[in-house]
Amino acid sequence: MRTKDSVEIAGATDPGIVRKNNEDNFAVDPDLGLLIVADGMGGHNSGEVASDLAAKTIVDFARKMLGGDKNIVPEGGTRGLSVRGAQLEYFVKTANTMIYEKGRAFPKDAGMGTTVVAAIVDAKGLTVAHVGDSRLYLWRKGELSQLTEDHSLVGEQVKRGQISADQAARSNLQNILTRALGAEAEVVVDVADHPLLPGDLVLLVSDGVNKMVTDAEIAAIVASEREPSRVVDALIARSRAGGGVDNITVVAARVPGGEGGSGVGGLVRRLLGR
Amino acid sequence: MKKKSVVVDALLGLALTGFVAGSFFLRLPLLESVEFKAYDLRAKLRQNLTPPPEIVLVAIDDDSIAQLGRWPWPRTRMADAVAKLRATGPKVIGLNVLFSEAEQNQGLVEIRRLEGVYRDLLAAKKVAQKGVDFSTEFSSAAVALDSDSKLQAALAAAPDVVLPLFFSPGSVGAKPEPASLAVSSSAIAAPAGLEGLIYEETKMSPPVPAFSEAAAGLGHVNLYPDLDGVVRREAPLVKYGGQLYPSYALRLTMAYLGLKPEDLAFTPGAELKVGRLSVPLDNENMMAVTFNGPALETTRVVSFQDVMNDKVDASLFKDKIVIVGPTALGVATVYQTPVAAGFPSMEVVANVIENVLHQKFLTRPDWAENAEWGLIALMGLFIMFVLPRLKALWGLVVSIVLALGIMGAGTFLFTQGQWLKVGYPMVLLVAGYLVIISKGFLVTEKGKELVEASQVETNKMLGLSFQGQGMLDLAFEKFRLCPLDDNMKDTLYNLALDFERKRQFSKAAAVLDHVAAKDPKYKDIAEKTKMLKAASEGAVFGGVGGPKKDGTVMITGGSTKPTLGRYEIEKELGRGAMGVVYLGRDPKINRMVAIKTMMLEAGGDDASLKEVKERFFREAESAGTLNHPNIVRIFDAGDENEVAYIAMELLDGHDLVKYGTKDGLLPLEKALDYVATVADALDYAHAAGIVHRDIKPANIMLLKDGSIRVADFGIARISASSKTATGTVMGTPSYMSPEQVAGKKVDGRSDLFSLAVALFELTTGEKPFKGGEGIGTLLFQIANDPHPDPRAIRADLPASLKAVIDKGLAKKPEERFSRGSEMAAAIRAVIAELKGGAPAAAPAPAPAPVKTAEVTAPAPAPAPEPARTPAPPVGLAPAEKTQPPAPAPVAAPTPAVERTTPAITLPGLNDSPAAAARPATPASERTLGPTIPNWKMPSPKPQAAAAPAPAPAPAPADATMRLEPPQRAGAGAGGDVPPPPKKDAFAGEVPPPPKKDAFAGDAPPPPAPNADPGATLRIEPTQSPDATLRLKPHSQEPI
Repeated sequence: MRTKDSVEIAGATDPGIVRKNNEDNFAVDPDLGLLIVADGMGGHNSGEVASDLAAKTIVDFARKMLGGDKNIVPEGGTRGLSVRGAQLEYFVKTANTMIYEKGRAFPKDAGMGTTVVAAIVDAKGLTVAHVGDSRLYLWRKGELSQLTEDHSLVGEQVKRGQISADQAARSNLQNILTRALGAEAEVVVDVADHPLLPGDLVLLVSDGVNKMVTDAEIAAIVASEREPSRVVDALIARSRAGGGVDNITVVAARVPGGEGGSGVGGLVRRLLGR
Repeated sequence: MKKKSVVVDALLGLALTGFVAGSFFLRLPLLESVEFKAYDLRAKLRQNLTPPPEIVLVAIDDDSIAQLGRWPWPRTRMADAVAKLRATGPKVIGLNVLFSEAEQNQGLVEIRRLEGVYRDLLAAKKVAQKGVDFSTEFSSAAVALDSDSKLQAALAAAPDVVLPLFFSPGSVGAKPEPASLAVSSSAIAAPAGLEGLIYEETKMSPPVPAFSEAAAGLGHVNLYPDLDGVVRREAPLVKYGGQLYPSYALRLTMAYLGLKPEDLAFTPGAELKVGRLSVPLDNENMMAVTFNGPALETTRVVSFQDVMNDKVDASLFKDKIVIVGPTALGVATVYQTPVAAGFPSMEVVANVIENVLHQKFLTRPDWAENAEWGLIALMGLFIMFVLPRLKALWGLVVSIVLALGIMGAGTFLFTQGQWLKVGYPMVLLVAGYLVIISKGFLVTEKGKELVEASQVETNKMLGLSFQGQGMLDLAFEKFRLCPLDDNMKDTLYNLALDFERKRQFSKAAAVLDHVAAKDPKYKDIAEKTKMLKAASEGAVFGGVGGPKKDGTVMITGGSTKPTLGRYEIEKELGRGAMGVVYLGRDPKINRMVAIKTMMLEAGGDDASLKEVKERFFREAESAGTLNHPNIVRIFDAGDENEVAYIAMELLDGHDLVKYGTKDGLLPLEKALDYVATVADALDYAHAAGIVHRDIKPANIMLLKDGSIRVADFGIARISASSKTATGTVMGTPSYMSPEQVAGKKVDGRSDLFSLAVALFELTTGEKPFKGGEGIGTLLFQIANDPHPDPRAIRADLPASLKAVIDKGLAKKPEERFSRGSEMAAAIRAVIAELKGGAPAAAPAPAPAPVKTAEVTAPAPAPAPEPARTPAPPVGLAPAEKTQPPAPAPVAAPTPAVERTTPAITLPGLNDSPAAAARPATPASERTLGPTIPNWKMPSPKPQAAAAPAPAPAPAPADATMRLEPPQRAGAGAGGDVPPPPKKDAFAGEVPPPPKKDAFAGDAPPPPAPNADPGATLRIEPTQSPDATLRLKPHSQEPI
């Protein structure tokens, strides 16, 4: 799939090896450049319900507010955000409301929640909003950086230096999130804008990947594959090989160019509207 | 946007296609000229540049005129030329000069006049003929001067000369003058029904009759240029006065082939047969000419003067068609042709002859028009539907391929003599490409308009989303905030239908009422509302939607209540951390209960679900063993559809959250009393091996009757253990203990830390650890930062309370109160002090001894447990008894250290429950069946040998453990004696009383007054194994 400005995107989810059900969900919309990964939680099938509802709500509202001739910005919202950031924040907050209210309305879905990391990408930049411990990575010229901070207890502890990353990996509080969609009526969403350069790869993953694959391995896989769909497949395969204890979801987007993107080739491409 | 732009693209494409098709149909000049250009380009490819062998042109060129005098020349010269050519033996001579009028020769006129005068004189005998016959002289002079006659003679002598005639523009509708026989003999009769399909003229300028008669034939030299002034076609036949006159070229050809007009066979709109040759005609009965250019280079041309001066080989003309005509500048009529401008008419004639003789024709095939329509339609569809969907590059590539294909085919056919008008589809394709692509470019470049969505719009969107998720009430809530326009009425109407479908008739009616308030006549709402209201009252209806459709009778209203297990769910009471809390009714004994639900999350397979369930019931069961007046009772636990639930005592009261704020503070004594009560309850639970893990004001209930209940024992653990993979969300962990934050295993002292936090909050109105941005700050503070001085926040707090809080909030578990009762006692000491007004000199040390005393207390603690099932009253009794003794020591306001000793009263306390304790243990064994082994496992580790020694401990492992410390201490019998020193050890951190800031360095207990080194030692071992032991039974499942 490609967006209007040729950012190639791909995504896939896999239940992993240990679990039978898949509580992860993802969504991509090439028209909007929208990428979403959500990792649900809650008993029965509520995890799926929550993550699915998060993805659907965000896509739905994004189509309504970005998909038309007009670029609709909601009133209010956090000050100082870019237009796209304000929109994305609104979509995620709306998803929170939907999940929270649905959990209240239907006892079988009570207490459900989900993480979400959602991004809007184009060839020039990305806007990311997230809640929970699903991550967004940016791979640029061989270097992988995590642009989101996990909203998990161990994540906070590591950040604070209270425990080491090693301890965090073994902590029995690993699964405790400090923020999630659907937990409370209001949620604080982390929103950020980042510029993108030709050749960059944006990666959204659920914790089923992080539990099994180290960042260094992720960087190596991204570096060895050009096509986003291959990156997605390779990461899922690697996560399964690593044990696959949790559901695995990967969405990747590659900004075109990067190799010979400048000079005559780039000019020709630009002239041809690529 | 996508959809709209597709429509726009299609409409644009359609408009373009319509324009092109219309132009094609009407031959509008704009596009027709484009087609002509394309024609001309292709025409050049058809040229035959080798001069045709049959034709020679004799050009009256600039040189000839320069040599022989200015034009017009005397006709005698023409006559000479004809005679000269005649002698070379050409087949046909074409004298392409118009002789419409007799030559006006002034000399001849004069001679004729003189001759007349002479004859008159002769007749009048005024002159006489004497020897000379002037008449003859006159006559011969007249003849000599009469060039027309000479030419006529020359023409007559050469019967194969063809002369041109010319149709001059006449007034429209004028009646043509009948032509003379000499002229009309060249024509054929026109078939009927040619009107409008052939060029028709009304005025003719034939050669003078004498020439007409003398000529072998006549042909018209009219050419009919296209709209753009270019001559592309020849009219082989032109209608005049009911007859069809052949063109000059045709007439020459006929003469060349020796054919007469009768030999022409004309099929209108199709072809003209010239003897054996066939000339294809288009529907205007025209013939497309294939021109060979450039002018005068693709035909053999000789100069007139060269012919006259015999400079040309006479054999050149033998059996040829020789055409004599002007090419000189200003003399010749020139035309623009596809291959060259300035084509002399003579050469046009030559080209036509060449085409006919060589049968080299350009025709429009029968299928041409259909093919052209097809191509236009194809291109139209392409730009309407395909092009907009292609990426820019592909659009370009496909368009170029299409254009090349059309052009190639058109050109190929053209060289094969078939003319397809490919200009139109090409124009359509190019224009379409430009319009669609530039539009796309402009639109994307422009960017989208930025609009701020009003609350109304977002409310509507939210409402629709809620409705889509089946959350109709919320949808209605949102819709109510929107103005009631027609669109919203319809939306609401649909919402009412949704409610109706869900049998929520009164809500459906309410929605319709909302619409009716604005527009009572909207659709059928009046009728429907009536129906719905009746239905909501439980009336029997044959389908609510309308009058008896299928006759099914259903009873609405009065539905059965949902159940969970055996409980009927009455309503939702609220939402807890893990799930919804419902008000339920046990129908068997008609008892109202609170039912707390939570999801059991399994790893996905049945085995793990089973394991999770087992764990849940184990936890619920152990929590259910708690029977204490200040602990919320658990009646029952069960699961249904993976929803686990716990039925518990329904309480009429509220939690203490609101008392934790500055404005909501309770009177100090009351707050202390509540906390002390909770501490006792915790002591009881901890003794039973149950850690609460989530002590906070929200879990402490104050009932209407003023009593206190601790809620949710073990539930934090159940929920934590059931969320295996993805984790749980927790609120702000303000009450977490440092060891909880660090993810270590916790014991009862963790609860006491949490209770101390609550105590801090309930007395000061502030939380000790407030955190900052992000939860991490809070966690860091809990783990590392000292808590603030409560007295700095509220100055009137007694120092003794500060001491209690300081001890309670110690970072290291072993530096806190070791038991709930110990903490309760310390708090009550503060209360007593408040009441008695005694200075709280050493309340701090007090807790320490109490604690030690209680090290033994655990033994009795389990005692109440057994009461749980067999004899509740018994269980209650000891519990109550424990409390009164506590105040006792407090009452004695003796010096700190001493005062602690009175804690000896505790032994007394021990006494009573002790008895109960014995029977209790077996009971607890039963309930905790599976856990017992775990208890035992670690127990040998500490000091298996030591255990037996302290006889007082009759209880199994538990007792041995507790006895351990005293033993080590080497103190006297009974666990009670060692406490004092131990207390002192703890006092290490307590010393603050003397020095406030001392607590900062609590880790090393430097100021410990009577700290005997052994004491510290003793404590350490006691604490840790004890802790592990206590945890084991419950932590057997790895969290």
